[in-house]
Amino acid sequence: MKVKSRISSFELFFVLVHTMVGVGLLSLPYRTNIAAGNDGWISVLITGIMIQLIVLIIWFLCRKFPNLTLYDFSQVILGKTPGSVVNLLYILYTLIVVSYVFVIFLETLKRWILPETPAWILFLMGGFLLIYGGTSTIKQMVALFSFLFLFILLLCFIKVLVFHDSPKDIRYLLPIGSNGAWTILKSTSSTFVSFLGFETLLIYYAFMKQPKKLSAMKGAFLAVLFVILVYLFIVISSTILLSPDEINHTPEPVLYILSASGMTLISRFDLIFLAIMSLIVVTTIISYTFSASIGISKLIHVKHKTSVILFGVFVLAVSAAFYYLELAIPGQWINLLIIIFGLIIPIILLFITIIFKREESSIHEKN
Amino acid sequence: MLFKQNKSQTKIQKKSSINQSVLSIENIKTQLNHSDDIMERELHSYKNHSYIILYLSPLVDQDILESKIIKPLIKMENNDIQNEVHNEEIIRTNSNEEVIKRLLEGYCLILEKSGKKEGFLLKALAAYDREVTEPSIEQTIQGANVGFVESIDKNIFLLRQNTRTPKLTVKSYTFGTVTTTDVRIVYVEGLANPEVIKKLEKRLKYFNVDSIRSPGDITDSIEDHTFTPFPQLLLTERPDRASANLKDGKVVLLIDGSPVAIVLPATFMSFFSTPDDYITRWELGSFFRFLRLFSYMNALLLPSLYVAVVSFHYEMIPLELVYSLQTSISYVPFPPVIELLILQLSLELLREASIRLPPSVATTFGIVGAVVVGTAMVEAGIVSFGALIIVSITAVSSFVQPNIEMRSSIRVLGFPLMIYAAIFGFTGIWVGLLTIFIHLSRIRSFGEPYFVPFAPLKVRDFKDTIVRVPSWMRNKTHAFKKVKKSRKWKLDESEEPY
Repeated sequence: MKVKSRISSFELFFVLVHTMVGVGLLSLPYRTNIAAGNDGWISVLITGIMIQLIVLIIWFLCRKFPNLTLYDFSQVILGKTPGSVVNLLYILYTLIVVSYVFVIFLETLKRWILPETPAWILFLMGGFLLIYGGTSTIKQMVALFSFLFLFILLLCFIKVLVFHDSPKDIRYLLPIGSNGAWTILKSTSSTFVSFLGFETLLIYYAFMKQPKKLSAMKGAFLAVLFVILVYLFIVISSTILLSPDEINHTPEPVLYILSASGMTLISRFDLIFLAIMSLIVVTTIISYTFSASIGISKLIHVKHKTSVILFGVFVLAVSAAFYYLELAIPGQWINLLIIIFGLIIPIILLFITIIFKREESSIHEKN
Repeated sequence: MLFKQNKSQTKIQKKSSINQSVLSIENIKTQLNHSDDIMERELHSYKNHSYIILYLSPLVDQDILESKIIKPLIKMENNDIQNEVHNEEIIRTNSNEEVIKRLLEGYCLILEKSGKKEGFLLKALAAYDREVTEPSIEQTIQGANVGFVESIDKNIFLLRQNTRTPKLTVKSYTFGTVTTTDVRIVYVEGLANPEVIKKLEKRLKYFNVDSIRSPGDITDSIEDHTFTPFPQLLLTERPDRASANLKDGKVVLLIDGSPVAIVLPATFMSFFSTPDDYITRWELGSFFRFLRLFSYMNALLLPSLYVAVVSFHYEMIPLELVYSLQTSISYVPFPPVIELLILQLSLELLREASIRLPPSVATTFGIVGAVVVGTAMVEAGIVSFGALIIVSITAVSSFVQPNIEMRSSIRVLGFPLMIYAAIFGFTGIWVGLLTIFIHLSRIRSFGEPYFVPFAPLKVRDFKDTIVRVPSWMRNKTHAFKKVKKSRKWKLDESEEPY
């Protein structure tokens, strides 16, 4: 694939962190609590380890096709037409995921900050940011993400500050493992959705500088590790700060905790947190848009800019349809989609690659 | 003149309308439209040769003409101008075009009357430059008191004096097809990025105008991005700052007739440093750096945060403050954003008026405008005191920014942010901010990322941007390769342990 510039492993870290940390963070403790009670953090840990393994599988696949994206090597592995079908499916999947994130995010915004504002204005603002951010090159996107990484750290700092300040009871975590191993294992399926975004590695790996080496994956592993640590902290702190009964009734425990605490100058931390969080959510959307529009521009042979606008319009249409027709996309569906597109299809592709010895690298680049 | 030789290499040579006719006094006069300031003098030398001297009288220094050209000419023993008249530059030519060009640069033409079709051009330019004085805008507390002047040669002299190296390279250009202006690129070979120089030369090649009216003409067409509030070229009127930038590997562009040097490429953070930072001790320098960055964000965000908090999120601020703000705001008939707009507008008026007024009146005017009108506005209930405080802090914060063009970006971005905040509250602010961030991470200055230590994030580069670390702790750039060793000496030379 012809690219203007390549990214280092360090830069891949920012891209993956920003794709993964997103709207799922706000309701994560609620979901884990429903699925696994006070052992939600174990479920996050297990899911995280599973994601690390999946990332490794994706790497096995991608290293066979250096500097090619999924949209290129799917056609090498499966042949022209089936490959195109897989590409189309991936684009549709991304469309659904982005729309899902969009709708959830808008609902949160409306619930917490802007109850009176008509939704279409928020749709338009989000659409503008999506298109403006998505039309940049990979280097510009990495630049933006690395800068906004400081804001993720700021979010963690606010969380730590509030955690330090509030009344807490560590006994809410005990007894560890009381829900039984099977429940905890089963609950991982609902934690999966929070790690949404690791599968973009299938596309971003084509931008890597030295794709054959394992050190190229350092960024990806560290990114997943970072996300695991942040999520663990969020889940454990929410479990400690809220009683089991409370947490069952708060769909966004992260914001709820923040709204209750205040300092001398700022009385409501949740508003600041949500404002900063919004930046992070938009980066998820931008990253997905970027990856999907690469596929669109390959599929119908248009420029990157055109495909971003096309994708943006589709996202707006789909998410507006979901929002106004009040069709809630169940989290379970998204979970299923992630497992199909993040795990099963890569594994199938990997098997075909190994069995039929498919291998190809970019004709534009010597590795 | 060392640099004139490069002129033949410039790509900007236009097809001249002047035809290459025979060199004669009549021809030259016709081409200069028989302008009344053309002077013609006939001379007879000691050995009875006759010469005609032709020059444009306003451009020529009469003293030089008398003592260095006419006197030796009369005393000449042989008919050998090249060796017997001592002048800094003598050009022998028979081209009409060259003569016209040189006459406009302050040369005078000597023609032998005996009919040889060859003339000599001797330099006698009158130097009406003003003296090198203290820069008026970029003032420092302890820095050098030298500013650029209008003469390009003097400016290059100032740069060469501050940057004493054989590697300092000057490239000369002449722009304009109707009236011409000299432009020079200065850089240190080996330190400056060759890519940047190549880009600049390419862009200058495309720069093709009838005449340059101001430096803005040239900066507009060589900047990477025009539709952005952020300046990508650093304008400075201080030779010490320009030469410090040269030593850091930047390129300096000088335009004849303008007392500013254009430094490129310029990143966002380079607008936040002043020469004083490097003169004071590093703690103080770092503090001021940080203060400038903080005040920039303050000036950008404070009005919109105020609008958002007062109109949407009053639960954010402590209850006592809500009460006292409430009592003031409840008497005001306008929404907060209109209040702020009224105040901002009157502040802009004050600012513009005080620039136009003579300094003695401006002080009085400032007091009347700011204090009297401000207080009266609050007491009359047109604006609330909260809004007045916010606008004043914003104004003071924006004046901390040392660069005028960067300061104007606050205004360009601040108003839309305020309106966004008035419509959407915090959501508006973050949407606006994210737009700015995306924009900042996209723009470049001559190929270099503009928002550099932040986007892309380079924590190592924070050392000389957000803070100013002691010079020996800086990153190893070209100019500071050996600086680490400058602190290798021991604090305590004696051998005894106690």
